Amino acid sequence: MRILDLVSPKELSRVARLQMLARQVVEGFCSGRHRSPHKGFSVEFKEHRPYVPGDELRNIDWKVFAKSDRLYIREFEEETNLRCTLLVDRSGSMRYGGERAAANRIGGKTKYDYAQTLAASLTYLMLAQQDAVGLITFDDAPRDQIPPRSRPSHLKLVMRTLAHDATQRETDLGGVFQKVASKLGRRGLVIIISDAMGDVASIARSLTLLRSKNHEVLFFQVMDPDEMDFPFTGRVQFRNLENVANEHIVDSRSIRDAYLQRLKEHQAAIQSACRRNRVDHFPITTDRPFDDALHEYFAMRSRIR
Amino acid sequence: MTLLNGLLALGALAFTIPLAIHLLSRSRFRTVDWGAMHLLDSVVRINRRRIELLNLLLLLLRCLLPVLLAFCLARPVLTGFRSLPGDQPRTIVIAVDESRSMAARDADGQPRIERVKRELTTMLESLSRQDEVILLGTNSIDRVAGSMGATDAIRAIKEIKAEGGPVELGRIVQSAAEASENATHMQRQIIVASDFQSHIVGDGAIETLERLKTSLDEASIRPSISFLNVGVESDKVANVSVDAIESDSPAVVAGRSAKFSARIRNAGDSPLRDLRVAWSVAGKPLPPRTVTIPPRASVTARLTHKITDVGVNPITLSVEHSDALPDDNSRTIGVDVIREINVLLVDGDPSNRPLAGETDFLAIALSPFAFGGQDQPDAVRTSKTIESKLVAEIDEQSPDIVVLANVAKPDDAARERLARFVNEGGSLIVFDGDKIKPDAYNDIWKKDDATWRLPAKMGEVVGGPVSTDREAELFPIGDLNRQYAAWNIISGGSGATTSNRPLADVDVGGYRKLEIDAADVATGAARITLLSFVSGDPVVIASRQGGGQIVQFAIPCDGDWSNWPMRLVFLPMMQQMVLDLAGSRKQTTLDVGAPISVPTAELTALIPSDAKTDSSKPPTYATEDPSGTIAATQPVGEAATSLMLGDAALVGTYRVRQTTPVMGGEPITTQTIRVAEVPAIESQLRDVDASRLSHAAEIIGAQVYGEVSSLTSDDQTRRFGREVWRWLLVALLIGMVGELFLQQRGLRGKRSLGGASSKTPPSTWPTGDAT
Repeated sequence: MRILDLVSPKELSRVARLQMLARQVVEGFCSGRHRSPHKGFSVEFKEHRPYVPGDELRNIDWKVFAKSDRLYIREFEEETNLRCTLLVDRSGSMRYGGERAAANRIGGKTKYDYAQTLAASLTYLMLAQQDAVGLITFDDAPRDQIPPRSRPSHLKLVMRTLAHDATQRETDLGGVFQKVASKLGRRGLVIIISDAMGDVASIARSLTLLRSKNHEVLFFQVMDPDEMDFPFTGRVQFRNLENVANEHIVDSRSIRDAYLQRLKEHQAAIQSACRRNRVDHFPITTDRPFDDALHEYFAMRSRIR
Repeated sequence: MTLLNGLLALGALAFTIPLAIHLLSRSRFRTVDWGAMHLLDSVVRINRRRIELLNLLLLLLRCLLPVLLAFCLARPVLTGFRSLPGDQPRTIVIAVDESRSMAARDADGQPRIERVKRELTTMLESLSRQDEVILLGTNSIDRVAGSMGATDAIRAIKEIKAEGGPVELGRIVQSAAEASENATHMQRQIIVASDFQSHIVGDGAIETLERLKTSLDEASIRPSISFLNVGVESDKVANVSVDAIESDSPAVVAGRSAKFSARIRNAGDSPLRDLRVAWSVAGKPLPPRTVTIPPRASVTARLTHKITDVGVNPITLSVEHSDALPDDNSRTIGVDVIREINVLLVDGDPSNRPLAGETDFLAIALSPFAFGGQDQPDAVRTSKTIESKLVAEIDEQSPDIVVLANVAKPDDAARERLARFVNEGGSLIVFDGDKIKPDAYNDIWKKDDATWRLPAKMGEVVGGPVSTDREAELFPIGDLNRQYAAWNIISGGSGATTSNRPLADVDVGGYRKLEIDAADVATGAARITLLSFVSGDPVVIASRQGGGQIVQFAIPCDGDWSNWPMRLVFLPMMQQMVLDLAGSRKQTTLDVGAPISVPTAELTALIPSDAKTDSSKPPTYATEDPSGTIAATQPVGEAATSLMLGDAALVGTYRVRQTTPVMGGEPITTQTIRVAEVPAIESQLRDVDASRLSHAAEIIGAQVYGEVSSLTSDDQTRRFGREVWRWLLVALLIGMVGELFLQQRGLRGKRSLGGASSKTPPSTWPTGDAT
C-alpha cells in the first residue's frame, strides 16, 4: 500500500508543508537556546522496592538479586519518556482568520492554521526528544485519535492527521475531554490547542477530570486579533462558522463595548477555571510568533521532569 | 396655532431625508464569517432591544430636527394665549416722565430719557397706520392731549426733555386714564415710562391708585396699563447738586448787604476736593471759590452781597463738576430787592422834648444813620404823624408799615383805613401805653370784606411805670421765640444756649395783659407769640390777617413802662422785625410746572417816580420764557391787575416787561422776573422699592417692564398669541445635542452579562498568565 492510496496529493503536500513548517519553527526556535534539546532526557534511576507478585519480571534487578538473593524491582523516573497528547480543536469557530492574523507569520491565517502549525511544531520537537506524542482532534466529539508513540516515523502520521481541514461543527470542549480522559492512559502531558469557545463551566469540569488523572495540562487558547478588539464598523452581518443558520446583522459600533466586556468576562472565567485546576493557561493570538508558545512548552516540560 | 411664514413649514418634509438614509443603510452591510459567535450571541441577545430602541430614537430625532427647523422658520404663534383681538387698531397713551431725574446718566453714560425715547421710538415704528397715539408729558400732565399718528408721535417724542419736577405716579396714571377715555379705538393701552423714583410712588400715589382702580373697573373699556421702568441702581449714581439757595436776610434792601446761603450736596461715595463754585447775581458772575464736600454729605456756601437794582433779581450758584446729572449743578432763585422801607409812626403821645415822644426811640432805632447824620442809607425811612392825620398820611405815603404807639382810640375812619391797609398787604404794629382805650382796640376792625381783630384782647394793665424804687415789682422777660427767624440774629441763631438771654437786662415795670381768645385758639387762628414774660404772659404776639401782618406789643415803645428802648437789643429787634414785616412775600421762585402770576403793580412800582406817564394810553405787556420766546400778554381779572403766564413748563427765568407810554418822551420799559426751578428732591436719585412698585402696579392691574421689548412681546402675545419659535429653536438645539450624544455615546453604551463595562480588550492579552 502506498501512502498516496491513503491521502490525496493535496493532503500530502499539506503534510509535507506542515512538516517543513514544524521543522522550521522548531529549529529556528532552538538555534538560539544554549542547551540543545536534541540531547533528550536519559532514563534516570529512582529507587528499589521489594518485588510483589504481579510485578513484571523484566523489571527485576537481577544484579541485586545476585548480590542479595532478594528480588527487587528497579523503578525509574516516570517521565523519563514523556507521554504527550495533543488535543487540537478543529471545530468551525477555528476557521476564522482576520486580516491581521497572517501579517506576521508563515502559513495560513485562520486559527486552525495556527493550531495546526503549533501542534506540528510541538510534535516535531517532542519526537526529536524521543518523547511519545499522541494526537486527538475534536469538534463536538473526538474525531481523529492517534495514540502516543515516540518513533520518528510517528511524525508523519501525526502530520497527516493534522492536515485535515477544520469541520463546520460546534465546539464541545467539556464533552470531548470527558470522553478522551479515559483513553489517555497513564499520567502524561496534555496539550490543548483551542479557542475555548464553549461553556466555561463544562470546560472547567473537564480540566478537573484531566487533573484528577494526574495529567499535566497546558492550554493554548488561540484567538484571532479581531476577536480581541472587535475592530468592525458600520452594519455587519456576522455569520456563525459553526452554524450557518445563526447570523446577526448589527451596528458593530453599538455592541463593541458590550462584546469586549463579554470577552473579558469569558477570559476571566477560563483563567479562573485554569487557576483552580492548576492548568497552565496560555492565551495567544494568531498574529503572535510561535516562539511564545514553544517557550511556554519548555517551561512546562522542565517543570514536570 | 397659526404660522407667520406658513410656506416655510413645508420644509418639514425634509424629515424624509434621514428616513430614507436610514432605510438605505439598513439594506447595506458587510458580511463576516465569525468564529466567536459564542460570545457575540449573548451580547446581541441582551442588547438587541436597547439597540433597536436607540436606533429608533435616533431615527426619530433625525426626522424631528428638520421638522423643528422648518417650524422654527415658519414662526408659529400659539393663539391660545390671545386675549385681545389682534388685528384691530388701538390707541396707545404714552405718559413720559419728564422729571429731572430722567436726565441722569446710567452706568452706560446714556441719559434715561434718551433710552426711553429710543425704546418708545422702536415700539412706535412697529405700529400700524390705523393705530393712534396720545402722548403725555408730566410737565404738562393736566393739559388735554390730542391724538396723533405714530410718525407724529415719534417726532414729538424726540422733543421731550427731562427738565420738569416730580409728578406723583397716581396723577400720571389718572391723567393717562382720562386721556384714554378720549381714544378713538376700542383697544386702549397706557404706557407709563419713568425711572420711578421713590418720591413719586409715595403713600399719596398709592391712595390715588386705589381710588383710580375703582373708576378703571367701572369704565366701559378698561385700558391695559404697563409701567416701563428705566430707573435702575440710582443709588450708585454719583451726583453733585445745588439743593437750595436761601436768603438769610429778612428783606433785601437795595444798596444794603444781604446774606444768602446755598446747600451743595455730594451724593457720591468719594470726596470732592476743591470744587469750584461760582455765584452770579443779576447775571453778573462773581469770582469763583472752592469748596470740599465729603462723600454723601452737604456743605453750605454763603454769600454776602449788596444788590443795587430794585426789583426781582436772579441769584445763581453753579458748581463746576461733571457728574451723572449736570442739570442740577446750578440753581437760581429770584430775590425781590426792595427800596427803603417806609414806616409811618403814629404817635399817641407826641412831645417836643427830645426822646419824650412816644415814638422817638423807635424812630432812632429804625433809622439810626439818619439820626446820626451819616451818609450811609438806612433801610427804613420813618415819618411821624398823629392819629388825626393817619388816614391822609397813609393815602399820601403808601407806607409799608404803620405803627400805632400809645394811640388812645383810633376813630372809625382810621380803623377802616387801617383795616383796608392790612388787608392789602400792609403791616400794623401796635404798641401799648397808658393812653390806650382797650375797648376801641378789642372791637372788630372792619372795612367792606376786610374783617379782623388784634392778635390778642387787651386786658388790664399790670404794674406801672418803671421807677428807681428798687422794691417795685419788675417782670422779667423770657427767651425769644426761636421759631421767629427775624430775631435769630439777636438770640445767636438756633444753636444758642438758653443761658444767653439777650433780654436779661430789660426791666419791665408794667405791661398790659394780652388775652388770647379761647375761641380763636380753638379755631386755630394763625398767631404766634414772639416773646413772653417769664410768667408766661405774652409780650409780643403776631398774626397774619388778609395780605398783611399785625404785631401787638404788651409794652410801649418809650421808656415809661420799661427800659427796653434804652437797651442795645431794642435796635436790632425792631430793625429785624420791620425788615421781616416789609420783606417781600412775592413768590419769585417757584417749582417748574407751577402757574406764574405777576401783579401789574409790581411793574408799575418800578417806574421812576419822576416819570410823567400818559394815563390815557394803557401800558403794554410782554413775556419772555427761558427759551427766549417772546409773547405779548394782557392783564386778567376784574381790575386787570395781574398777568397770568400759565404754567412754568421750562426751567429758568421768565421775564415780564411793561412798556408804559410817557407824555412827550420815549416809553419806559420796566421788567420783573420769576424763576422756575426743579425741586431738589429730583436730585436725590433713589429708586422706588421694587415691591412697592409691584404693589402699585398690582392695584391697577399694571405690568412692570424693564425694557420695551418685553413689553412689546407681552403685548404681541395678548393681541396675536405667543410666538414659540424661540422654544422650537431651543428644542432644535437640544435635539441636535441629543442626536450627537446618542450617536457618540448612546449606541456605544453596553450591557453585558456581568454588568460592568470596558472599552478595552482583556488586559492579560496576549501574554499568558501561567499558573
